[in-house]
Amino acid sequence: MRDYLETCAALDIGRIDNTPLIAVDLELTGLDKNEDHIIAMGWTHIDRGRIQLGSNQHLLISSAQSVGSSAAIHELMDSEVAQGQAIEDGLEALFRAAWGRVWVFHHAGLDVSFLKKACANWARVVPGFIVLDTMRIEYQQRKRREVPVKHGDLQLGRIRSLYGLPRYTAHNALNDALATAELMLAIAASMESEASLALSPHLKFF
Amino acid sequence: MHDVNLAAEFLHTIMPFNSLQSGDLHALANKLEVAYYPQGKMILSSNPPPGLAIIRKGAVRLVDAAHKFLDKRSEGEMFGHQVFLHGEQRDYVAEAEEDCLVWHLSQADFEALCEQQELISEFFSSHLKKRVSVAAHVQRSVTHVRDLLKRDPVLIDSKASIREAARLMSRENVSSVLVMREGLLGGIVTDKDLRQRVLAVDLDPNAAIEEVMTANPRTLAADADVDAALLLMMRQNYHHLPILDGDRPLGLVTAGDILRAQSEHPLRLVRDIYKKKSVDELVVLSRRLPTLFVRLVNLGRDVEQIGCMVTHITDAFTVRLLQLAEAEFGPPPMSYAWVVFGSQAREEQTAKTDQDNGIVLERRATEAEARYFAKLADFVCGGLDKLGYEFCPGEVMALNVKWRVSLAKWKRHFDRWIEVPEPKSVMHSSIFFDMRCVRGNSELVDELLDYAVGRAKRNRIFRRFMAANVMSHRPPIGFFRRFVQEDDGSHTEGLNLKHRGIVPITDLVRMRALEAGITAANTFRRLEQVVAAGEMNENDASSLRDALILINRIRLNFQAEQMVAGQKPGNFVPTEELSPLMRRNLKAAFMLVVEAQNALSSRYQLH
Repeated sequence: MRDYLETCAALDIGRIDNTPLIAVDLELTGLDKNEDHIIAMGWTHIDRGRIQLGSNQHLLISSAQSVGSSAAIHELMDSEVAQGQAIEDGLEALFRAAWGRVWVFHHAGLDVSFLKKACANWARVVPGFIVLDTMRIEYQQRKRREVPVKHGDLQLGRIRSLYGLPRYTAHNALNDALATAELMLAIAASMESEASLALSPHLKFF
Repeated sequence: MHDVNLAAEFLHTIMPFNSLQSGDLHALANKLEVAYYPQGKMILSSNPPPGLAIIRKGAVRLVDAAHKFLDKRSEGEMFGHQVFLHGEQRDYVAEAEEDCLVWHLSQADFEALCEQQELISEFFSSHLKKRVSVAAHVQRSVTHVRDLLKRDPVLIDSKASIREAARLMSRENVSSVLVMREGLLGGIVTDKDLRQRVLAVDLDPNAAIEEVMTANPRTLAADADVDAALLLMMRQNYHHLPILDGDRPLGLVTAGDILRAQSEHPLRLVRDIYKKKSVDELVVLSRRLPTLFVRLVNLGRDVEQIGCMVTHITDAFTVRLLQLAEAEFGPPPMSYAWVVFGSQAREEQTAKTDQDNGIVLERRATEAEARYFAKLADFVCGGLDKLGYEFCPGEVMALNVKWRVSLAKWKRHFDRWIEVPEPKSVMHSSIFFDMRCVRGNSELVDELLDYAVGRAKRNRIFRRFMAANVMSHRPPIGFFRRFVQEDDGSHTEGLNLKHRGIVPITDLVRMRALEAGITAANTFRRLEQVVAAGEMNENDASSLRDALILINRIRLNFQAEQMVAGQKPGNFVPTEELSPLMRRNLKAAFMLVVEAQNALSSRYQLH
């Protein structure tokens, strides 16, 4: 964790084609960070503006709590979750992978709040996150172009289809992380055509 | 479910990666990089080699240095490798025609992959025709006769006595024994031989077994596929086939072995056909055809052999009906030949087929004789119709008095088509050049074919009309989303695989066979013979052969699916039912056919 924190300070953030990113998605048992748990993590790296499929990672996290009705969303069963690794090991792998990288989430607030809570229990530290949130960036783009945004418009799948990205039917943390990474590239490409490729205005600090 | 690797899954739908083992496929997927290109953006230039790019979503156009359009690639297609257009390698720049998601494989990884995987290397290192050939091979799965062998062969020396052989057979509980002469297979003796050639003629059982063996029997190599064995047995009516590994006998395959291996079987159906005593009984039997057809297709059998087997069954029904008719109306008053035309003549029938047939009489018939053949034709054509071989809409049937004439009259028909060619008669006559005798005096048909093909070969004007006819059936040039792109730039939703794919090839090959004076009807045999005659190079012939196999395989799969769904099999395929892989393969196959057509067209100066 200390390593991670040190690299945050040294991050050199420029354009998407020279900033290393990590796109992450979590599967949760629910939406309440005090009640619910992380049961799966998926991530992939983006280097030189390209997703590195060889860096794909998908981890199941064991949880004492039953997945309950959330199984309907992520299709993970208690028996599968029970075979996962301890949250501590999962976090360690994730933060090693995130070393020197800017985080990319779709709807960062939820996932980051769960990660902070888990880190507080694990490392007794609540780290800061430097984040690109595809949902928020898209929202700001639309606001700037004065496009009205309705409820549900900012779902990952809906935005992806606007950018001509394929539809993924299989839902899991890794596929959603990949889907987020692809959307990040598409959004960056659209910004490029508007001559505003620099990432820094879109960074958010948690 | 959680092991599903989206990348590997998509790669698996792409030629040639679908030939990779799952482990290699995942290793490849892990080397990929994903990039996004908005519409209009330049993606790469082919020089220096930029590695391989696979389109995951969107469309890419390839243009030359002068920005002239060369080709378009869409989802599941590739670029970045060497691209050949009209046989020539071209440098190009690729740009996004739509927003694109592209998977990149670095040049180093691409080269390493080609080094490890021969099939993939072949696919990229060469030209369209190699690609179609790879596709035609990947789709084929084979069961070898080796897999049917159950025990070591029972062998006996040629000098052993008949008695010793009989005792050996009893002890080993086999119905046949292989006779060895100086370490090599010299013959075969079966139970039936002992009965007919020994007991029935009071031969001394002390005589050498070689006296009564069938010498030099037909054999097959152990790695021949089961269908080859089956076809040989169907054609020659063999019941035992020795199987060799090099010179060494490995065992014996019997018709029963094959029958036991499969419940629905062409050979069994053919046997049953010959046992039936009435049209109604044959009709009951013909209901087994759809299941049999679906089985043949789903077992992944060789396209050429499916055509042969399906045709062989039609032949058997035809012959049986003729036998029944002759039994009912008495023996024919003169020698005749029952001929079939079109796909049945070419031994290329599929599920959907109507009847094309005629009668060649030895000489001009008297009125009474003509009545006999009218009754015969009525019985057989009517019978075939009841069995599901519908009447030919063009009335090319023995039922039509015009196609039930003497050899001399048949020759005059050909004279008229060839001497006074006009587009319509040329189109009409092409069906008659695919001709085969299924029963009766085949010499009449040989003579007629020699005559007709000889005249066609000598008459350049007629051939020029035929070439023009060949050019009138062009394959579509490509696919674009839901549409098939026609030559004139318009689009249609769907594809008639017979008219747009098969007919152009069979027409073209018939044309080339006529030029070479070849009378065979089967397209594959025509190609072999045209090459043997030095009229076509092996490369061009194998391109056409592979294209035909590929298109027919897709057509057969569709027909089998339609039959399983309880629909009538047809030739029309809605484009949305073509997978991206099929589209790409079809596109490549069509290109080969167009190239061959263009070559023909320029030879006859049809431009």
